[in-house]
Amino acid sequence: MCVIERFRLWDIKAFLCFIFLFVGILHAFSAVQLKVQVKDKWSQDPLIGSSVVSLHQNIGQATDIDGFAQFILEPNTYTFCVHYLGYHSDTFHLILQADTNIYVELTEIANELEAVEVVFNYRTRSNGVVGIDNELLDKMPTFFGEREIIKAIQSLPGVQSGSEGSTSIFVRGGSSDQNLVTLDGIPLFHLSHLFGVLSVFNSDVVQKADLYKNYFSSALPNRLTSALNVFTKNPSYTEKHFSYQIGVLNTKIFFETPIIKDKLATYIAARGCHAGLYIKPITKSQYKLDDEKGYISYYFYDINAGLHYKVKSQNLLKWNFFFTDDRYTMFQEEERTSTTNLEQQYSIKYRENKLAWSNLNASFQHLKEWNSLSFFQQKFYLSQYKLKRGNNMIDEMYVRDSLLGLTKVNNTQFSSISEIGYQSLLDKTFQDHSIKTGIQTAWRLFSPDKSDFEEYVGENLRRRDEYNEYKIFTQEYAAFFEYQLKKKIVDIFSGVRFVYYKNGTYDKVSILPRISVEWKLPLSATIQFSSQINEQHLHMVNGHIGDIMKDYWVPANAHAPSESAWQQAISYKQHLHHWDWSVDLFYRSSKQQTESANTYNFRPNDTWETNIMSGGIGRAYGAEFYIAKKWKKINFSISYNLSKSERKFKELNRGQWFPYTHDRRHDVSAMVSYKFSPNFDISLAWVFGSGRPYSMVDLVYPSLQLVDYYADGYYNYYFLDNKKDQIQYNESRNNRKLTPFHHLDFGLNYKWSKKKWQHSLNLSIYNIYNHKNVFAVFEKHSGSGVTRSMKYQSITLLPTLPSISYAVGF
Amino acid sequence: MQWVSKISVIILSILLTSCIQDYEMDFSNADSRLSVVAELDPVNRVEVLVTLPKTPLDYGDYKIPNDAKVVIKEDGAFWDELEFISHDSSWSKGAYVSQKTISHGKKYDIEVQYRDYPIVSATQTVPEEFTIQEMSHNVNLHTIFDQHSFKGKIKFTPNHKDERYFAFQHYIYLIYFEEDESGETHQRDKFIIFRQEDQTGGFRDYRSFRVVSLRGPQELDFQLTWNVEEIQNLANIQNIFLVSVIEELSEDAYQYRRTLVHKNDDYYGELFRVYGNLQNGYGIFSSKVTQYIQTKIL
Repeated sequence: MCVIERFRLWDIKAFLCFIFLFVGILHAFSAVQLKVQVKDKWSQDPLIGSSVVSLHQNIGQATDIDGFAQFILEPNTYTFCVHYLGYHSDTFHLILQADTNIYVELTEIANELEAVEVVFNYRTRSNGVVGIDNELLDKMPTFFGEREIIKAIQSLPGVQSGSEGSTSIFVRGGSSDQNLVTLDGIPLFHLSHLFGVLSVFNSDVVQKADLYKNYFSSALPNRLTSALNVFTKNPSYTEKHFSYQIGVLNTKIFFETPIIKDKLATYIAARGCHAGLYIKPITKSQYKLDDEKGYISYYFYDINAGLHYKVKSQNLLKWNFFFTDDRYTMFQEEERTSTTNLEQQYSIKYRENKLAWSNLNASFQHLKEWNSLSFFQQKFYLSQYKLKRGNNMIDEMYVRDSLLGLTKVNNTQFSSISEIGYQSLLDKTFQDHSIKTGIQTAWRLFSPDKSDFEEYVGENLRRRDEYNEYKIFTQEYAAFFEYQLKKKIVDIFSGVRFVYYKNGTYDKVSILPRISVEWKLPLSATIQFSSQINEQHLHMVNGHIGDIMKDYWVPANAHAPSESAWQQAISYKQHLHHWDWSVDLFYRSSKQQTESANTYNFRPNDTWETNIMSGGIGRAYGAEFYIAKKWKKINFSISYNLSKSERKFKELNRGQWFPYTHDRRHDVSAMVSYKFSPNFDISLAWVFGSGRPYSMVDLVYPSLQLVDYYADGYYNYYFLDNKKDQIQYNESRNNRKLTPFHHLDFGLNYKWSKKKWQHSLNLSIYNIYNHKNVFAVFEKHSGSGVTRSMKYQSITLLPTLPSISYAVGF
Repeated sequence: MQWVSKISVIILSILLTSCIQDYEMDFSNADSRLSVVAELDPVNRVEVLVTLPKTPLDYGDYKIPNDAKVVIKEDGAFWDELEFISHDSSWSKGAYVSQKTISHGKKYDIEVQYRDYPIVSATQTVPEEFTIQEMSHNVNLHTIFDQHSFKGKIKFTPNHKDERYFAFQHYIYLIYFEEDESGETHQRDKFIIFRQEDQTGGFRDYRSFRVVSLRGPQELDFQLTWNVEEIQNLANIQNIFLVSVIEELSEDAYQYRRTLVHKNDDYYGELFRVYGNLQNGYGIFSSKVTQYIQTKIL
């Protein structure tokens, strides 16, 4: 009995132990693994050290070198928050029942990105923002071996496919100054190297570019039609990287390194044009062939640098610097011989035309996270653009080989704009809505049309004149409030911007509201409606067609008031079975538009105001279609814009509507790429745009000057081809169109690795079928007297251009 | 890397060779309408220049029809049919002329017919006579021979409240004697038209006129400059006159000159449409009233 009892007792104990053990084992085996990987949304780089925290349980981890955080958890319902300094936090809910892998893509705070949908040549966001990054840029043909972000932007729906020798952005029939371009949020005032052939953006440091055209946040400084934000990359806090590239035109070098691991990191990228080494001897020999002496020299360089410092875990300091410098010189030497009083005389004339322009952009940013769902950002910055044109002449007179006299004339013109500013942003995210607010100031200093003239006889200054020495200071203060609501079926973005602008006695207070509503439909479709009012307080005075570097920034004032526009857009897009397609309709009406009434030249006693016509109205409307398809190794996309842009001024074109210079009825951009392997791909891109409108003579007839009032033949000496006495008539402003612009480009990329070094080779051909796109049309006169004749000729800048570039790095 | 350099040189050679080619333009409608140019002035005879416009590619003379019908009406009634007069010595080879004089303040209609061309017509009202209350200047022999500029002032009578348009030209008229190689003395004359430097409004037109729009009574300052060496080099000056030409322009004449000077201002400038007031034609039918004020300096 006792044994039995003992056994039973042991048995019961054992059984209980077993039960407890079993339950324990069961309990242990019922726990599941959660693996969370955190990546940068655009670069897809793992974000090391991101914190993944459960909001209700006291558990959390930092991600490892591959961006992973792992948890062993009981099956339950969890809410996790993922955050990383400088990035938007993300929250996800899950009912954990089995082992689960979660991938979280965070976006940088400055980028303000939402859910990203990847299509072939751009990425779209829910509020209609389109963006291009390096991954997408890789698929496009390069331009002189350069991955051109601006050329890629020009292939987007709603953006003009460009024109000969232009790296400006023209969106929906607006001018280039109506498109805001920023580098890390700081305005840029000039975008080109090499007279528009290349853009100032070095692809080594460009992380991505976002184009806002339907709705742009009230946090962005205002321009009328669109905003393009180009973002530079963040330096690596853990690894060193180096790359070197040599191409036809330039050499590039890039280096990034952590200075204090996970704390302080820096990068520097420099690009220099070595084409000047070839241009000078080639042009020298070309002059020689024509029995002339002279040469052309050109070079440019640009530098991007950044220093980023993480202070504790919630503060990030960023210092960014960007500088570009372009210099062009044309030198000619001319010798003339004459015989006077039996003495041999000769003179030598040296002419030198110089053109130089530069950009300086420096900023200091501070980011602070208050908690995982709110942050504060502030920036101090300087942005400056300078343009200098010089015409210098030296005239040396010799008699019997000894210098008799020397005169020297220097004529220099300057134009510049400098902006110093401060921007702040406070962002608070709640469960399904968020608010943003902040203030901005911009102090600008304009020197639009300064001109110096100097004349020397020998070494003595004979005359010195300075014109338009004045500088114009303007102030702009803005406050904004942005509210975003995100529900299952609808996203609403809304904002308002309050602006006060002052230029001397001219001032303006504006309230600029905006809204975007996006409904999520079945079958991955969305429809978006947006409406907004925009305003800008500076204008660009343009030269006419064919002018190079004749664009000058001027401030809004009583003569040329601030421009404003009201834009509405409807957008439908769908992603279905590897097909992406979208349709956008837009209408924009604008006020206080400006036009160059005549070519704006620097002239003594002449200011920009005498050549600018203001008070015009404008309208632009159109439809943009886009379709893309992905088949295994082939990607294909095509976009087509059908649009119209017109302007009306009381004093131009008899007060009638006329096509705006940037009106393009049809604009097509198509692209196809084939990936043979992860290391080898080829691509083709074709663009087409209707010809640019321009004003050209239809006929000529006599002027009143030729009427012989007094019948005395006094005016008989006038020549018939003297333009002053004949009127060149054109039926309307911009009465003609240049021939359509189109070209087909090819690109080939091949990459290989050897030990830790990565090599890449790129071959590109621009304008394969050598279409002669027109840059400018001019009159060509020949003969004299009765044999005189004239014809029109056009200049093409970019014929078929093959290029090769090689890059190496680790 | 030598081959890279070679390829680079070839590519840059292509790049630097600017591609220039002929550019075709369509001018097929260039001469589908007539050009008529005329400016009425009571002190001058009426002369109307009728031409066929030409394309900018054409050099040489305009085609001038000599059998067009040019009729002018005064206040709605027939005034004159103009006669074609050939100018053998003139470039224009001829124009349509009336020997009658037009009157101030009257309305004139012109109608030009030529073959199958659309009939060209326009209307013009000649300004009333205007009065100059006072004109003063500080010009004298000293200023003319030793200085480069002088100032003056014109005062108008307060006879208009609406906007009216005036043009001013000032010049020196000299009579002097010059000896030829044989020692014989000849009387010569010379015009020196002043440049008007003031920036007080208006613009300079193609014949160094300063053109302004005025409303109500006005005092107008002017500052004239000239090349003093041009006068200093002359010997045996007999007489010097300062002549001021003051024109009142019709609004059409003003708009025409304003846009014409805009166009002429910049040779390489963008095209600027010159004002015209003709129905079915190119050109201008305008009017003005001229007064000359002459002051003898020597």
